[in-house]
Amino acid sequence: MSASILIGVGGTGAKVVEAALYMMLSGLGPQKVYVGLIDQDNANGNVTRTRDLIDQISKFQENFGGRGNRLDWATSQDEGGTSLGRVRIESLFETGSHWRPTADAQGNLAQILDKASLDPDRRALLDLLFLDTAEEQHMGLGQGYRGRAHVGAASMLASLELGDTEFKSRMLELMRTETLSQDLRIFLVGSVFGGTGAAGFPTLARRLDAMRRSSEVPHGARVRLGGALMLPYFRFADSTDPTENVVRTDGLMPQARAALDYYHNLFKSEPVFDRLYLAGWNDMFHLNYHSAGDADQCNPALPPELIGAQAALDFYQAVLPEDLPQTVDVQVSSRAQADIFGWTDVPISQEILRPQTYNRVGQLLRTAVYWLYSAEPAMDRRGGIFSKQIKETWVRDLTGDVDFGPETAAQRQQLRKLFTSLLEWAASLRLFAGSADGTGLRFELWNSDGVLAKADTQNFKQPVNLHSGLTDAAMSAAFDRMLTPLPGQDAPRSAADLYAEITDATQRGPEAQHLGLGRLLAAVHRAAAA
Amino acid sequence: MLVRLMKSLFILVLAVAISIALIWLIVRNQSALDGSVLVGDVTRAAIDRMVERLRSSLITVNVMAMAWTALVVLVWSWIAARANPAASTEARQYGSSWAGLYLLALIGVPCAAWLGFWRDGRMSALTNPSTMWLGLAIVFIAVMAGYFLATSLTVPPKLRIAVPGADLFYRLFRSKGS
Repeated sequence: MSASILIGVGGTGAKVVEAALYMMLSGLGPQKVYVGLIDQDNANGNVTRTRDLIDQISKFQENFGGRGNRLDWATSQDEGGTSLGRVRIESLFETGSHWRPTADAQGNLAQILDKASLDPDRRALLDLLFLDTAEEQHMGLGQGYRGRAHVGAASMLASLELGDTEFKSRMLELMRTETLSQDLRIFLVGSVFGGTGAAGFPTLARRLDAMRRSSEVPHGARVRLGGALMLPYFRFADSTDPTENVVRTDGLMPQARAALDYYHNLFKSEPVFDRLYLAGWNDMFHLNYHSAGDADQCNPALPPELIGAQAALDFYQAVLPEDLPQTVDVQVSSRAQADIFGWTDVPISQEILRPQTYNRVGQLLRTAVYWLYSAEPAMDRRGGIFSKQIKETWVRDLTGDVDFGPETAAQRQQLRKLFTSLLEWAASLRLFAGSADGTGLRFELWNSDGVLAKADTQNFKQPVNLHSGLTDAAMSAAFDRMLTPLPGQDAPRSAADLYAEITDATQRGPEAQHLGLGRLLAAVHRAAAA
Repeated sequence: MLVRLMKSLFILVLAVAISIALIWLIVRNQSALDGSVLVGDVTRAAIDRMVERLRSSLITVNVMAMAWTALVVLVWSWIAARANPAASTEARQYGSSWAGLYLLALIGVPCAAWLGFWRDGRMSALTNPSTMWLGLAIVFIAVMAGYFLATSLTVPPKLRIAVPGADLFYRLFRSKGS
């Protein structure tokens, strides 16, 4: 089984990982991905949301990988297997998916570097590089690096070398064990603006590159390192407190430019990455609120994060030279038309894989709609002349071996939550696509309007709410509109086509080794294909 | 759709055949005739002619009723073929069309009886009332069973939920593993 690693650095990195997780839930990507989030801000809302999603997907795979309710991921799709949730998601670290470089007790940079015990020369050097004030040396790191990338870089490097060695030891372990017979692809994603991402991305990348080139990793050439740098694509309202120590909007572009200059110079001497992707957006998304960090920093999902996620998937299946890189292959994305974001704008280096991306993502979204608004409620519609059995024949047929006990009830609830999160994420991308500065962009990947009960671009923490239930006609309309077809392709099959297929046992195709609720889910997923 | 239609027609033809056989059984001899027509000098040949006439009238009623039913089944098959429900509650709504057409098929029995039987006053006078009602009951049951079986056994899976009994037949007759 080939394994890969996906690491989101900072809040933006976490949001890109979130997008990548949804795409991997659709079946895109390698067989197994270790997912890690690195953020100093322990309660960052973006990180928390992605961490919850990792847990949800892991739980889903646990629920449907067992003996009661099972999805068959081993059998090919032609023979009845399913791609839904096929990519195995595991937390990167033993303690979970989130790693915090600096523990609370370590406090600030001065404390991490143990300034008090430094000799006078080194102390002077520290004072030369970092202000001996609450803005830098004595800035509490509980809420991240607050846009001070140089402070973050120093404290992260210090943590990597002097403090918590969990990250280093785990990466070393994977580099050794996962490269015995195949490549191990590591993908880092973070922003060039802000604090944690800007600080952690180059620091971690250089550390990982050094590790794979060292004698500690026998098959270091099999460790492939990729990354996605998110250029500034959103901005917050500036803090009303001019003394508050946070990154400011007018500092984003200069900071990004300085970072790109840094990378440009770095790559001349250190080809850290096998491939680096740069993703951004023409116009800035304006998030009209301000947050220094913590749970308040929970931003809505935005379209550029899909580009970053696709970069990760692209890297995992890219054909790379056999040897370690001598130069960094830089990929930059752009849209064909400034006012449209469609399937052909999703950056995929191997064009042959575009229909697969379209089909898998579309199939997942359509499955979520049909599951939440038709299949799932149908399991609760019971009653007959002789028994309290499920009314719908096809649901009854496909759940014949389900034990509708508390365990299945909990699994159903978890699946509802996962699909709800997915549709809310998809709806958020669409909702905010048109809200960037400049004039409205047409989002032509999917249309989730049919399932939305509420959409509010001013409510950044919960911009969308889904309908709790839909009539058949409304569900059908929502389903039929959900996936925008690839240019030149026919409209995807309708909900009526799905229903005709799923109610006809002769059309359902082979059932493979799905069991229990997995049979129903796999059948709906199969029938939801575009 | 053609295969389903052919199956429906086969079921209706079978219903016609069975009902004709039953009519033949109950209209065999003079007991099928009204007692008043047997009074006086009535020859055996005349009785046979009357029995023959009565039998063909009842068979005509039967065939007319079943032809009407076939037409109604055809309409249902057309509706079923065009139906595009996206989920079960939408599919269930087709049940009202099915029931309405069922009623229409059953209404065809008294209409056929009037056309083929009661319209001719002499025919009513000729027939033993119990034979007449038994014959019409056979036609009625044939139409009832014919429409029900012709629709429930051939309904497309997507509309199975709309036709009472279709689900039961599906479970009884489905092949193992399907």
